[in-house]
Amino acid sequence: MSPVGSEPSEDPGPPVVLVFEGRRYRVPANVSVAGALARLGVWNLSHSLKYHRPQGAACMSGTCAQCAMRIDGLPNRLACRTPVHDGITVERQNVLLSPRLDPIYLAYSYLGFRFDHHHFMARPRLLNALFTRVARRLSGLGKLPESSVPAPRVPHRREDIDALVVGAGPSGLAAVRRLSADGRSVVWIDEWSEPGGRLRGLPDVVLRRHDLPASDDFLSATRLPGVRWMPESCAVGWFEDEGFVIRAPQEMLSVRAKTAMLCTGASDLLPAFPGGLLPGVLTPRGTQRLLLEEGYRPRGMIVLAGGGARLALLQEALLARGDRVLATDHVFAARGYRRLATAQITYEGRRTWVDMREGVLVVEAGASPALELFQQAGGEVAYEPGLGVFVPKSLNIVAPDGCAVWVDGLTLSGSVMRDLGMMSSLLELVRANPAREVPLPTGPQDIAMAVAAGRPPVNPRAIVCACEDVTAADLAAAIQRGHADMELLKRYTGLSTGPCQGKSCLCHGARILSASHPDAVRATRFRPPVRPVSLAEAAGEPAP
Amino acid sequence: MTARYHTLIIGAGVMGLGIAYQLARRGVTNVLVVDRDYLTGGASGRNGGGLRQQWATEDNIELMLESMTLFREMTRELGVNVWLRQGGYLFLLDRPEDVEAFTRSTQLQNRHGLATRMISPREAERIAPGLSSEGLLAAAWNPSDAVVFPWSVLWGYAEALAAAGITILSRTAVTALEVKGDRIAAVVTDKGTFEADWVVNAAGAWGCEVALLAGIHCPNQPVRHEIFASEPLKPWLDPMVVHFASGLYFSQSMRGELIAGITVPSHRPGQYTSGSSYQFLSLIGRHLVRFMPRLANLRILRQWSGPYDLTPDNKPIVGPVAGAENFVQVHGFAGHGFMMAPVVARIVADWLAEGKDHPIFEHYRLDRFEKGGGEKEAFIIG
Repeated sequence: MSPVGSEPSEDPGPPVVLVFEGRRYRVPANVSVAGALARLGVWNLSHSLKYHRPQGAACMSGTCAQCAMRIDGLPNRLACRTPVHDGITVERQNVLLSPRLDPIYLAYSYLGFRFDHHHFMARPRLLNALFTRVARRLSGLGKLPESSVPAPRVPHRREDIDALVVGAGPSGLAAVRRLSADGRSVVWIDEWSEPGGRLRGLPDVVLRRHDLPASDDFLSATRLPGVRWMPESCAVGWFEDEGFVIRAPQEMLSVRAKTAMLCTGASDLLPAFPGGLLPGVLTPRGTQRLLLEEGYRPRGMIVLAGGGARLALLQEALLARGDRVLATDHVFAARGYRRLATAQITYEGRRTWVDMREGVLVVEAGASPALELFQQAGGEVAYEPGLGVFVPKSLNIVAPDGCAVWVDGLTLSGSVMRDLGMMSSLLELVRANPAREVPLPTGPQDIAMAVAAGRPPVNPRAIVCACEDVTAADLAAAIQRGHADMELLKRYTGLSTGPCQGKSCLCHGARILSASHPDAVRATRFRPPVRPVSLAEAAGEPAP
Repeated sequence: MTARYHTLIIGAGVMGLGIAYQLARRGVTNVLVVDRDYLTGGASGRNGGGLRQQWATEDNIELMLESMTLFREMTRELGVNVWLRQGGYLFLLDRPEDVEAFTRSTQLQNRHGLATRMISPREAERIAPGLSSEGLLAAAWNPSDAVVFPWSVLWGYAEALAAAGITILSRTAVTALEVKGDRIAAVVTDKGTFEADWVVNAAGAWGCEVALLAGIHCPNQPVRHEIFASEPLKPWLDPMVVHFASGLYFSQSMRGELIAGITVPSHRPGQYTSGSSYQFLSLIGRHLVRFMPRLANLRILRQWSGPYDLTPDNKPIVGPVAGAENFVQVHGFAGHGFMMAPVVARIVADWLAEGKDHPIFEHYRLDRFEKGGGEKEAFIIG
């Protein structure tokens, strides 16, 4: 993977062999499985849980789980987070008969994506018995390997540390610089191998033009006095008995920190309009990773839809390397069978269908603040209807070990321009105010939002929750049935209960509910783990 | 606001809704259900959905036989899929005393018509594909035990109640019980005061707290149990598998997730919180990998907690209590309230609507604890 600011390596080294559904392909050695398949023209990476919709990589950040495949015999591996290696075997999941003619997808494409599994064939008894059997046969996604694939227990270690900074984006950078300047000793973790957060992949020249930190800034911060930089280390949760638990390359590490700074940023929301989940539609973050970090160049047009600061930066970076880019305010619908084929956008003031067969559609659907760790560690979270996302209610200083915990207000918003200033002012506030509660310094109106963010999906046919195939109409029907409560809506429809655990969809549900029942949206509990943890990883016994 | 009901039920879990539903079937629809949380917010929305008839006491075997019949009818009756799947319950035994106890209870269950049998570890491997039976002495197997999707049962009941015109007031906390003489005269909530001929305490793990509002002391205590759901897998496991010594249990849901829980020894009664511990993940990771090595790479998506409502003899408190004749207790089910709910609801509704007696009102009286309690139910898991 290329670090922030650098151009993708011209010479990726000798290609490796990737075996996709029995066929051997030569692919570059330094890309993810999703990136390698995109180069081969394979976008349909698996079929969705309920309607067997073709799914493709969308967020490219290990969040949305749309690219889950069977890789090296293991189910539900994320193609976007799995680097290729020589001889890697890759298969689609949940395909019935054939990827081209999956009868379930065919049927639902014709009938519309509608299915009330609560009431379907509940009577009479015989039909119900038959239906229950069929439903069970079709359930689930990945196939368990026939024999056990070795997975040694990962050792577990505990450590008391001075300061923990989670996330190596611009806010994490600001936090680390400040802590180091104060003479503190800092453990700085990020789940990726290089620092940079959501600036990773943007060329230095573009970053400098906007006064944003570039690759040198990040790399030099990893070497600051007192800083222990831990790449590929992911905080999988905050637990009452262990504090923050970090999955590092060789171990599970529990840390108790005097100060913990959660600079966890935000997860891209998936676009909620008809066709918005077709393979070939990417989120801004996904585009940055696939096109800039991994160096994939689509043959056709790159359409950037939705506006906002993130797309503006992306546009600059893509133009700088000579890509064909079209920016538009709005996208209304996308069509295609197994991949995006056409999209309806505004062009010169009119609605126009554009050919996207060789291109990529990038949709700014907003982002959902990554508040999981914050809430687990005791922070309070509330729904902010103006933004259509959940936000921290206040900065808390959390018992029992008195560690200060917060999420910065700005990485949540999608505006990359003002992170550093914001982070510094938050730090000042916390340093100046040892009280247990510190109010958030700015109102959300301060935050420049992307055009699409904050509004509920309007088209009832839009799939809102991609993991569980929940449409806007499903949510509306559940609300009408009386499940007008965030907790009930989630459970009744399945919204946010799949592999992404709500990171790419919960806000859509909240916006729909909030439109008809403004007071019914409460923050739900973000249960650990924040990222899936395997049994072997969890099984290590801590040294006494 | 004052309104008068035939029955007011505190707690909209499976027990409270079940009782309301059975009352409606008997023509009693002047019923109100109140709950301080949302539907599925308590233990009824947090359990693994196991339904077993393998018990060590006759009462429980008999109750579960009938409950299973009611569960089998439920989808058709309520018109909502509850995803009942009779994949059996497989108890893994590795202590001689457990083998002895299960051999005895198997005979007892056989006398009640159940096909439970003791099987060899090798045979257990055939029932649960990939099971490693190393270190096991025997297993107990009943193929007619089942799992159900717990939330659907609540929605099914709730829809039936709505159709019968019975209101469920969610997010409504009972703040006081007005006692006049030996009766509950009124139930005071944060949404108003209600009068009822009968007041049912079906508040589950919070039943003890609710009873105390009327000055009644119950010996049950909530204890935290943790559970997880994994990434969705294609169907591969039919039975609910239980390792009796550790309290480990796991089954595959209709969504394909592995649902698994285990007893965390340091979670003590009376200290219930709904938080999550890493200790649980670590403990269950070790045990599951031991029994199912092929699951070592399986990933956990989320973990949560729910309360077991434990009494000193692991048996519930059912029926009216001295000092409050119209205050009916239905709680203390020690982690098996969900599976028992349909039958207990039927018995309680028969009694409320028609005055029909049942032996459990005698066996599960609150005052048995003053006399040292009854025979202890030993088969509590998780």
